[in-house]
Amino acid sequence: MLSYAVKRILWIGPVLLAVSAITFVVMHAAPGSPWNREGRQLNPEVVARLNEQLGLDKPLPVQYVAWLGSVLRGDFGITTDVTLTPVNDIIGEVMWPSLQLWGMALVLAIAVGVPLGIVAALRHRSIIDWVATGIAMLGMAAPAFALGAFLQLWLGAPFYDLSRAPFPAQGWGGPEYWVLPTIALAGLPMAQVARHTRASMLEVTHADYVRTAHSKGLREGRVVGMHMFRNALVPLVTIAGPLLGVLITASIVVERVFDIPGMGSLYWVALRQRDYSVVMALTVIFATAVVVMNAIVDLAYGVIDPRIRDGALADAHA
Amino acid sequence: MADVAPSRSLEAPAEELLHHRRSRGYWADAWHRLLRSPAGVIGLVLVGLMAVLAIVGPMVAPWDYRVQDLEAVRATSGRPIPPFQRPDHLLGTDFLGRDLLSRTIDGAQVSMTVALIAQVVVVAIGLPLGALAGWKGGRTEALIMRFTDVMYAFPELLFIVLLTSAVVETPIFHWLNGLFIVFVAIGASAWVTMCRLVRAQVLSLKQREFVEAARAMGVPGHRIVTRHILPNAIGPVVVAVSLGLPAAVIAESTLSFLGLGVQVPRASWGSLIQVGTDNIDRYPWLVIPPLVALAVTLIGFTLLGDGLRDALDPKLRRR
Repeated sequence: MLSYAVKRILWIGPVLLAVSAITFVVMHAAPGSPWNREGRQLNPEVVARLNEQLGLDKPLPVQYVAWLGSVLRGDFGITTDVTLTPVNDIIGEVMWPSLQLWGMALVLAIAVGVPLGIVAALRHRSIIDWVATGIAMLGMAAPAFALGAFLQLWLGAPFYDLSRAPFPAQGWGGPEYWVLPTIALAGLPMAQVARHTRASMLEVTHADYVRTAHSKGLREGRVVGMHMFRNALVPLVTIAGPLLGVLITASIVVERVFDIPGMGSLYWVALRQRDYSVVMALTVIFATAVVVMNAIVDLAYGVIDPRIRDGALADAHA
Repeated sequence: MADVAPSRSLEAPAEELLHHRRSRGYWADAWHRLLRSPAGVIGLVLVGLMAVLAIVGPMVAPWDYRVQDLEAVRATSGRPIPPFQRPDHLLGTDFLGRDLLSRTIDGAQVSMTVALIAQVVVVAIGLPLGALAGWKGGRTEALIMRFTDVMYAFPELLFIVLLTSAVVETPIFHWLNGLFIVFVAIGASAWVTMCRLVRAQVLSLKQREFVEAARAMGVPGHRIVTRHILPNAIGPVVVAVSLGLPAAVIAESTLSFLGLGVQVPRASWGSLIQVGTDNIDRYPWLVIPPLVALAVTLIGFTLLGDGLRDALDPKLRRR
């Protein structure tokens, strides 16, 4: 288990290195530079000076190594635009709405998806099952941006003047602003959680130990909670990693739909502006979140399921 | 003579049964199962509907998707025409007087084309690489699998957006009204899953007796892979493709929503929804037709994928 864990954690490094290198190459291979964006006219001497100041006149490998060095020291450099602001400052500002949104969406997806899946499985082939499966199906079928548009439309429809709607369709502020984007972002993960919970609950319904628990006269709630759900949880954990990846990348779109000043909106602007350092910083942050989550999930999988833990242990001793 | 007759009458139904079973091959069996599951049938119908719309769309659409009905827009002094107000623009028009129904129908063609061609790209890259990794093993496998590990860590949408926004200013971006780069970007990120799946299939099939037999008979490696292994791996591949179709539709519409996908004058449900959300406070009905079309398509693909997975699952197959 330990050697597996160490290997799994060490593997994060090369993956992030490769992801950042690919992003670096694609960004710099793209035509145009930060200095000729959307109607911006800078005179050549200014451009030359800026390039020198930011090190953009050096060969690409040199630039990449320099970037890597400063990132390892926790510094994402200076924005590649005329304001020359430290990237860390900008990220520090836009990070919080995004983190909050991810957290709320994740909690909502689990808090709704798991009970939905359990209820559907316990009342297999009943109307409740059909309704729950139907809700999950709709979630699967609605990309985050479409769900966002639908929520704006549907919840705002009784109020022709949308500024009077209970939940604002755009912007970020008090809790009333959090409702729609959180639902939009949670839709797909919620559906996937519900589907997987239902499937794995159904699988254990007829297990011997569940029948034994019933015949011992345990209460239904205890059988479901202690015996069925604990076992159904294992496959559920495996989808948690990919789920977070979906959630994080979908937030780019959701933030744009709802005009939220977070990392997703910033990524979008930075791409258009060819702001190399901001794109690099955000890509690394997004990828780190995904890779670290996947690693945690892999390790948690071993901790939850003794069979896998012992299997890994046996492998390590062999 | 007398005791032969009863044995014959016993034999006859058995033979019939045998014959019946033999006549249903893998695909016929799967097809039969698909048609018996409600999810599969509904999915098949919805996807079929969209496919037909994509093919005959330009013929049945009341207007050409590019045509601007300037007179009609002038009559409303530059505002889009609301639905159900004019018989010739049943679902209304956009700001330029282009018929919304016709543009939504054109969107079906865009979505279906992207979904299909992106999957062709995915199979074209993922299948050979996965087969190679699974069959060769050793250093080849390590190299391919480490590369898929990296791509797997790259958040998919992030990679697609990065790739398309990198070519925004080049002519490539405008090939086929932006469709070309959408195929490439989706294919380039989605092949990873296919590659891993095929490798896993090849690894397990490689151990089977029929492969050993083929090897013992001196069948060359590439022939074993193409004739003996891959045909047996086709079920999971079909399921993966069917699950990849809605993913591609989502990716395309998201890209078009962000302005990175399909370019004007062509319409995509994503770009139509984008126009709709931008004007949601004044003309909320603009977003409805593309939203409904997208949801119907995705539900159709998801149901069909579920149905196919159950139908092709060897665990459930009647032996």
